[in-house]
Amino acid sequence: MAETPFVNSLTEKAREHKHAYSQGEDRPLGSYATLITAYSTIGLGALTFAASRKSTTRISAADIALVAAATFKASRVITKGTITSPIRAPFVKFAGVSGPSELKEEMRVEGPLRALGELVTCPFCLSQWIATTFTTGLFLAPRQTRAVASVFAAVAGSDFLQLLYAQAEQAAEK
Amino acid sequence: MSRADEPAPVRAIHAEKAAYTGGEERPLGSFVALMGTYAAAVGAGALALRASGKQLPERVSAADLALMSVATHKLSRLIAKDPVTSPLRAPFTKFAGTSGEAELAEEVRGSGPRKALGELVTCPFCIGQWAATGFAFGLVVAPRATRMAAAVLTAVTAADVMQLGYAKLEEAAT
Repeated sequence: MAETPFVNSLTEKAREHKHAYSQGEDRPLGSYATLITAYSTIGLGALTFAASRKSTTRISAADIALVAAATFKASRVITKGTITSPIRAPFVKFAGVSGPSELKEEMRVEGPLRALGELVTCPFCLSQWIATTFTTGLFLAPRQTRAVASVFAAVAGSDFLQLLYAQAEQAAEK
Repeated sequence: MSRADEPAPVRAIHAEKAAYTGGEERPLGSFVALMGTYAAAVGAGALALRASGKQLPERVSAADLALMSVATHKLSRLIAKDPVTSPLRAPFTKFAGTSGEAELAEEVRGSGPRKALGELVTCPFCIGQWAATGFAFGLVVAPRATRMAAAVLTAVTAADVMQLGYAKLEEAAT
């Protein structure tokens, strides 16, 4: 990249803002910016492509409810699940169990890897990507996407029932 | 083979694993194998469906999804906690008392693949993913038989909840 005075002053400005913002804490702002760019190009790009190819598809309220439940479960499975822990192992340290079939893990990387680590360990962060993927799938392969989403939604329903049933068991014992 | 003789990628994987586990027994390799098995099973099922010419339904109806959720809940508990199914879990677990009405508490024993499988078969939340996937394929291949099986499991769930509620009422009345 040509180091023009304009680019130099822009970089300088960004660095000043980052310094004023982070107050000495490790805030990987550059990596977050990269993630936003990746999401905008890959995620929104794929969604726009799919929606424009099948412009007659209408996403029904039932589809949104299905994608919501499936996104909830899929993001938890990836960010907290026991069996999926190898996906997160490069970024975190095992720190015990946080719930049934869910692990507590601590971040162990710095810098750019940390931003990626936060994405794969935080259900609230990953859900944006997962909902986008399901919605893209609804345009490109509606039957298959609904089938996969139905499995995750059924697991979500089942898990809620497990917790409620365990509560009922405890209530009956008292 | 000593650590020093290992190829660089293997050594890097071992280093990541050591940093993640911090000395705890975490069977990451076996978890990868479990994820691979699940993906392979779903892939094989999808290919078999395509070969058989069976088409996926446009969508899974709300009633079927509810039936799938409740049946998944009960089937997972039957496999993970029922006393009668304990011989299936015995190779991986250790009896540790009861955890509720007609339910056992068991501890996972062993290490590596045995521990990974043990964590899977003792945890209703973990089996849920497999059970729901099975019901989804069942709904496409043999919808009547699948709904019948799911209806039985749903009736058992309702009966079990009634047992717990009834016990509570009995207690209150005496």
